[in-house]
Amino acid sequence: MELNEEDLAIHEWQLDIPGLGEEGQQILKGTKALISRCGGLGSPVAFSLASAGVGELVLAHAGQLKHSDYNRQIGMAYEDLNKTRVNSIVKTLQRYKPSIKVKGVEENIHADNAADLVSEVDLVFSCAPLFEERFAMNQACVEQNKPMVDASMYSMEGQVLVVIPGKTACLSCVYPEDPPAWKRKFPVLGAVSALAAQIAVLEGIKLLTACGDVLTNEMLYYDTTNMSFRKIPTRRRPDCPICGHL
Amino acid sequence: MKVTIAYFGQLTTMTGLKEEEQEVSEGTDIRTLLKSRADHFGEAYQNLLFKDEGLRVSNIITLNDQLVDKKTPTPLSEGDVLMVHTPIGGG
Repeated sequence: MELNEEDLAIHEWQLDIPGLGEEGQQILKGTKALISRCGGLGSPVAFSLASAGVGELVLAHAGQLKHSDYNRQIGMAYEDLNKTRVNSIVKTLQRYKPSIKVKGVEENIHADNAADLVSEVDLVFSCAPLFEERFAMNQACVEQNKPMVDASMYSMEGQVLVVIPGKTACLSCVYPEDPPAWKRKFPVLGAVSALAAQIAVLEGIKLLTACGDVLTNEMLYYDTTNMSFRKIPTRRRPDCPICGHL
Repeated sequence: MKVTIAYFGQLTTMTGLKEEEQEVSEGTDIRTLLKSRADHFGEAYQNLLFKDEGLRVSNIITLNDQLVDKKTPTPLSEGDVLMVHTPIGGG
C-alpha cells in the first residue's frame, strides 16, 4: 500500500532499518491484524503495531473496565472506568494515531466467532488469558493458513510462540490438552506483560517484512527475576488433531 | 549423582523454588525423580505434573535444553539440568 507524506514523516526514523525500508513499511500499512484480548498484553501490542505503521487493527475484548485492570491495560483511559473496555482502547488508539483504522469487537474469542474474525485479517496476536480462547484462535489460524503470534505471561515470566501453519508447531502441538490447573486469575505485573507484547510485535513485524529471523519451532521464554532469556525447542506432532494433517 | 530441577510457571509459586538440586542413584529416570518430588511436595505438585501416573503431556520438560519425550523413560546423568514448565496463559 502506497505511503503518503505523513506516513513517511512519522516512520522516517525506522525506514533505515535493514530489511524494513519503504517496501516493508508499505507491507505494514497494508496489514490488518487481530488482537485478542486488549489487556496487559494486547494493549501494548495494539499501540506498538500502530506506532510501527500497521494500517488496520481488529480488537476483540468483552467487558467493562475495572480498577484492577489499570495496573497493566495501558491502552485504556481512566475516564472510562466501568465503561466498555474495547471502546476505551479504540478511542485512545485513534487519539494516538488518527490515520489507523481500528475496529472494536465487544466479544472475547470463542469457538463460534474465531473463524469469522480470523478471516478478516492477515495476522493474529493471541493475548487472551484463557487457553480455551487461545486454542480457538490457533485452530482458526491453522484452518485458514494465517500466522499467529501467541504471547503469554505468568507472574515474572513470559513466553512467545510463533505459529506458521504447516511449518511450525501449533499451540495444540505444544499443549496437547487444556491445562487443568490454569486459572483466570494469575499474578501479573504490567511490565512483564508488556515485555512479552513487544517481543510478539517484533515477531509479527518480522513475519511480515524481511527485517529479521522469526522464531521457528522454538519458543522464547524469559524470567525477569534474573533476566534470563532462552529458546525452548518445540516440535510439530504428526498426531496433532489441529495441524497434523498439513 | 547430582541433578538440578528448575521450575517455571505455577510450579515456582507452588514449590516456592526456582530450582533445586537432587541426589539420585544411577539409572534413575525423569519420571521417577519427579514422582519422588511429588511425594515430597504433595497433591498440587502431583496434579500439575502427573495424570494417571504418567507425566502430563501439556507440560514442557527439557533435559539439558533438549525436549523430553514424556512417554519414554529417560535416564538421568550426573550434572543434568531438568527444566519443567507448566503452561502459562496470562495476558
